[in-house]
Amino acid sequence: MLEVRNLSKNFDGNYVLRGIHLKIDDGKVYGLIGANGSGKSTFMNILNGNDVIVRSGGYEGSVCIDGEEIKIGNHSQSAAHGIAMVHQELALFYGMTVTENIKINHENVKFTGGPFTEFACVDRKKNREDAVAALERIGSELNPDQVVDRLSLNQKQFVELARELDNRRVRLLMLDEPTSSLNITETRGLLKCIREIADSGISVLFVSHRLEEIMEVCDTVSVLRDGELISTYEKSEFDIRRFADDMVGKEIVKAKKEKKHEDGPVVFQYKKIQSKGGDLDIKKGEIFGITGLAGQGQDQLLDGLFDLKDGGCQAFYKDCELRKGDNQALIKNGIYYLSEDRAGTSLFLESPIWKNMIFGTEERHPEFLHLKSCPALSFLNKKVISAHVEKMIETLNIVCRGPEQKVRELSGGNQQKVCVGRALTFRPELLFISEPTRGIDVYSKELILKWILKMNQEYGTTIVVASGELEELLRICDRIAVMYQGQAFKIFEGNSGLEELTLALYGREVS
Amino acid sequence: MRNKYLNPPQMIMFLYMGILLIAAAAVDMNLVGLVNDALIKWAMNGVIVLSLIPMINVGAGRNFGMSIGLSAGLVGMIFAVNARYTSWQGFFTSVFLGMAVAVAFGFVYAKILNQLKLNEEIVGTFAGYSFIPIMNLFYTFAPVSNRQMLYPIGGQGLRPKVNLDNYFGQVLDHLWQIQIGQLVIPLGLLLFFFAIGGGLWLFSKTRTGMIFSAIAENDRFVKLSGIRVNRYRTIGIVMSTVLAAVGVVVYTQSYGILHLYDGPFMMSFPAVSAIVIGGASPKKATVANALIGTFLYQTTYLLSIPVANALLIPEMAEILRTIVTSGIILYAFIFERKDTRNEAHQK
Repeated sequence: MLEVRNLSKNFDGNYVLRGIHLKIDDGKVYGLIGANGSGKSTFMNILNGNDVIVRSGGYEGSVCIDGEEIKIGNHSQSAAHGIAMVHQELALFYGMTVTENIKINHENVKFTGGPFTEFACVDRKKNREDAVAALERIGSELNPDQVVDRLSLNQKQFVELARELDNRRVRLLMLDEPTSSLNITETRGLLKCIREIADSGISVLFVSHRLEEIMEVCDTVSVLRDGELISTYEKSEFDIRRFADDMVGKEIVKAKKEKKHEDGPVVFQYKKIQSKGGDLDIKKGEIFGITGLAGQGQDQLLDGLFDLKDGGCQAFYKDCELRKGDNQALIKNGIYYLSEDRAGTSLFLESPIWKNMIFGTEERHPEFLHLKSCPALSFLNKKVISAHVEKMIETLNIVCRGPEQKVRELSGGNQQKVCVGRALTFRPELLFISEPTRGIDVYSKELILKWILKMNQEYGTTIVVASGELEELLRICDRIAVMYQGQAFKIFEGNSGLEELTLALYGREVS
Repeated sequence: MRNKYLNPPQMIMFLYMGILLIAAAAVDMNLVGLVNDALIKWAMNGVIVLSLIPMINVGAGRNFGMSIGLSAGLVGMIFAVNARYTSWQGFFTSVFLGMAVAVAFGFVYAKILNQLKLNEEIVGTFAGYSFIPIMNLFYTFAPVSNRQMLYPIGGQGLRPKVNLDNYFGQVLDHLWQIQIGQLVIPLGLLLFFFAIGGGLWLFSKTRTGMIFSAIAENDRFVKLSGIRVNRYRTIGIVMSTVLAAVGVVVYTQSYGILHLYDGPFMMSFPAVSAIVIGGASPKKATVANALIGTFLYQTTYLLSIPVANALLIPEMAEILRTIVTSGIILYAFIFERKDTRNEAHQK
């Protein structure tokens, strides 16, 4: 159905895609994988007629549908050819209901015709029916009259999907990391739904970092690396190791905590969070994992403590109560938080790497300042800072032009490494870190996990990791708490099995 | 590729200034005299424009409520004139007293703006507007004994305009003047202006300066790093208010007339226009932006009136000038918005 021939794209002469050939048949799921910055998003942006592509001079090569070459100059042209896309970042209208969001821009109207089409009456009843049908098609039981603001992340994702499918003409559906914010069950549901969509004759282009999902749902998989198509596999040839090797071009060594930590004194306590009213103790020098399905209260433990979200619970550090929102005291005690919302709370996107890496660490690093007696009015010691940042860039293997490059220009994985670099600079006694590996490629993932382990083992940092990636938690954590309905349902020692952990997510135990 | 130093609005402004200069030469105007005036205008308005910088950089927007700071400076000057202080005594009493009053005003102003984040500019505009009638009450009932400041009839209430010739008018303008032929360089005034600019530039390089710009960029992150955002915003807003007070004293001594009541009413607009022309974005302004912007804005303002008067019928002059200067400011605003939009897309 869709064929791409010799597709290339450059930004100011810098090629991010080079000579891509691929063919997507009707009713097939086509997987596209690659490391961060390998050109997946650019590829989809071209097909979607994205603004960025058009502004920066369009693309080279040709895109054909049913053998006929088409030109994609803007988003409307792409939509007219039946190409739809669900973005990684959600694009919904807040304050409007699910139905309104699904039917936006193709509403059913009454009394049309004449010069007043724009003022035609919206047929609410028919819209609602369509929305219900679209939701049913993807197996979602959402209330079509609910306002989208209150929906959880995954429910919003379903609304987006329903919106694209409601367009009857859609022939190619592009999904950019649709499962990155979903938990296991939700992911299952979505994958099943993708399969059904494909069976109904629509082609699907599926991009994900989770190779297991790719294995499960795709018919064909292509691997991109540095803007080039490295290899294409049919279902019968699927092999997760080959995928990974092709993506990074080198072998991946998985990070794993070798020696389990021995019991230390309790440094941090969440009061009355265990199911029997007990406290959640975090011991000195351990890596403690927190997991759970979305919305089971694990975000309250971290975001709540640092006042990024309402709620939260009573917490004690070394037997002193921590007041919620008193971040100054937390930082003074050497408690540091790397939140999962990189752009929102962990990076200055328009600022250079060096500023991102040292911000907030000056009090712990007087050498960064010239005038130690009066830090507020002191100039920054650029020489020391540059040396430090350059060392960090080298050890963390951050791909960039140098400490002066703006963080916005880096890929997602490298941005995350900058965050980790800041945590390393800060040298916390207790580090809270949320979803450290979300949305980054396999190679960078292992590198970040390795550094978390290194911080723990070499610098003795106590670490609390909140993550939905059970397999990663099992590899690096000493103990893992599973949150269920706002409480720590069960605490596992790190050597438990994946199965037990998965059951606990639903509040069940192995009988 | 975008020119790093001059953006299109500035280039157009320079071009416009060049045309005016050629026109001025063509109608045999005294060019050296114009340069002399331009230098004075640059420095006398410049401090007020510089006062915008701390607030912009701390993410509290362009200070449309500048009349609060200006009023503080006026209070300082009323005190100095009432005490019949002349020359430097009058000038520095006005500056220091004005600064002290501005600290108090700034704190209250910061409290208001910190309650209403993200809407600082519109809130500031109204705060500034509503502050003027309050100050008018003060001018009416102020216990002033210097007859030269009071209404001649009734002896109660300050006059709208008080002549400073007998007090400290032009005291800074005349400091260390260098005369080269007809050209007069007001070195003292320029040094005072550059000293404040230099101080702000150095401040931007300090740790606090870095925290300022960080707050403007992402205050959630700054908060997460254990830094009290509101405290720094208060510092920035107080700094802007204090500098506005100093600025109005510099402006008034040069202008020679203490303009009370609605005097500060519209003073924030030219200042904001100047810094926008200078290339400042809503969240980042440098001293260079203020210097270039003030020079361009004030010089074209200065040139266009006599040139238009000589070339066109006199009534046209003001109209034409307003169209061109306001138009270029509007263009600068549009350009600035377009620019940030482009950046947002360059992922």
